[in-house]
Amino acid sequence: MSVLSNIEEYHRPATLDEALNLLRNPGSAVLAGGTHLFASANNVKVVVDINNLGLSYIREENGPIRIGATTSLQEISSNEHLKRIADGILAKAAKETTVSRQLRNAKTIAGEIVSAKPESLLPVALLALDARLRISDSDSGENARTLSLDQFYKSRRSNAGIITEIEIPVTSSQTAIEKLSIIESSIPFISIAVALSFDGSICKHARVVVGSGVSLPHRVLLAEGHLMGRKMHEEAIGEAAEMVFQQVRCFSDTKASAEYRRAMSKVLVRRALVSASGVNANN
Amino acid sequence: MKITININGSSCEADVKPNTSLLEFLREQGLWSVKHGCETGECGACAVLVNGKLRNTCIMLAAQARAASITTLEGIGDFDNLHPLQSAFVDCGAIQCGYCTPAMILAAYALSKEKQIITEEDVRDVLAGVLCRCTGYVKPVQAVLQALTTE
Repeated sequence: MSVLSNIEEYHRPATLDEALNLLRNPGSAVLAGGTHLFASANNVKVVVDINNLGLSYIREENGPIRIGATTSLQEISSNEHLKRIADGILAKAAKETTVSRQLRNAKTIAGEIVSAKPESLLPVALLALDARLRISDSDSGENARTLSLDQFYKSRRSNAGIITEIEIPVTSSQTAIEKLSIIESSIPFISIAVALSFDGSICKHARVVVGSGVSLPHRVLLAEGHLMGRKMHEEAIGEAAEMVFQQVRCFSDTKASAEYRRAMSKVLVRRALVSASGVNANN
Repeated sequence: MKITININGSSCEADVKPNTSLLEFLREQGLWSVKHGCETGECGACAVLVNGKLRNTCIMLAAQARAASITTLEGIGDFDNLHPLQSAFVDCGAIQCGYCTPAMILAAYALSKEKQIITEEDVRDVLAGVLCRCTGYVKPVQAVLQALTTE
């Protein structure tokens, strides 16, 4: 029996208002790429396809980069501008989320944010870049509210509304993204993204983000605070990695224990900080 | 629900149920090159081109393909008139059980429409999402390179 067999209604609205109205139906859900919605059993009966709302775009007009909610991972990974911005962390995260071209064609940026699966590296990269979400719900209608991705995860991904756009502030950050998995194509045990910017040799801005082995991706504020206002050297990097190790709460499953994931988070944070800052460090 | 869909260059109308997958729908049209594999979007055997882009049809509804153009293997060549990619797969011994072959050829076909100069890395990138348990990918990669670099 197919996962799709429960579906009773399919809608492809032409306006956001229409989509929001349809989502008032009990048992309704947003359909974008379908790689999460249709890949495992669920109780969705009414499918609201948002691919006709004109939300596939990557724009940069005097200010932040704006990525439409249904922009595919393939478009993000192959976008020449995104390959350059912040060391290409978004293009890289989109590419490394799956080796499958057809899944990158299907998967959307907002779908990856909402599902926040361990294989999704985009949320980790987007947290490191202080991404913000524009969300429309039936109360706000076309007047979308804006919420940082960080707050979105802290508020436990409320199901109300539709993410319409992801906004990434102008950045000249030096970044790195690291993941650990058995083979390239398998789901990472743990993933780390960092973003740093410097004033001379002093780190003036730091983001350290953990994903994959944790219930939801999140920043590690203690490690970020420890790096800001300092010179990046091996010792500061080691201390920040230790802080992540102390703070992170990983899960265990048949693939890896929580202890292993936690131990590896320290290794990857160190690796990511060395790579992003250009500090020479042994191992 | 009624949909209009263009399949391999011919427009057709169909009445589909909201829970019919695109995979099921295409096979019902007699397009048996579209293989039924994992049903969870993992294996890629059911991949076809939807508006020129490779997609797994087991995790798409037929209704989603409303007004879309679909290309399956039947649309690019047939027994008496093989596409150069098909000939190259035969020549290179890139087919063993054959279950992944249609999706591999479509993946390569989409690549040929997307880029002028094709590298081995490009080929490996587009074939990676089509799981093959027989060939180890060496011969399919050779076949695609032979077809797309001598065309």
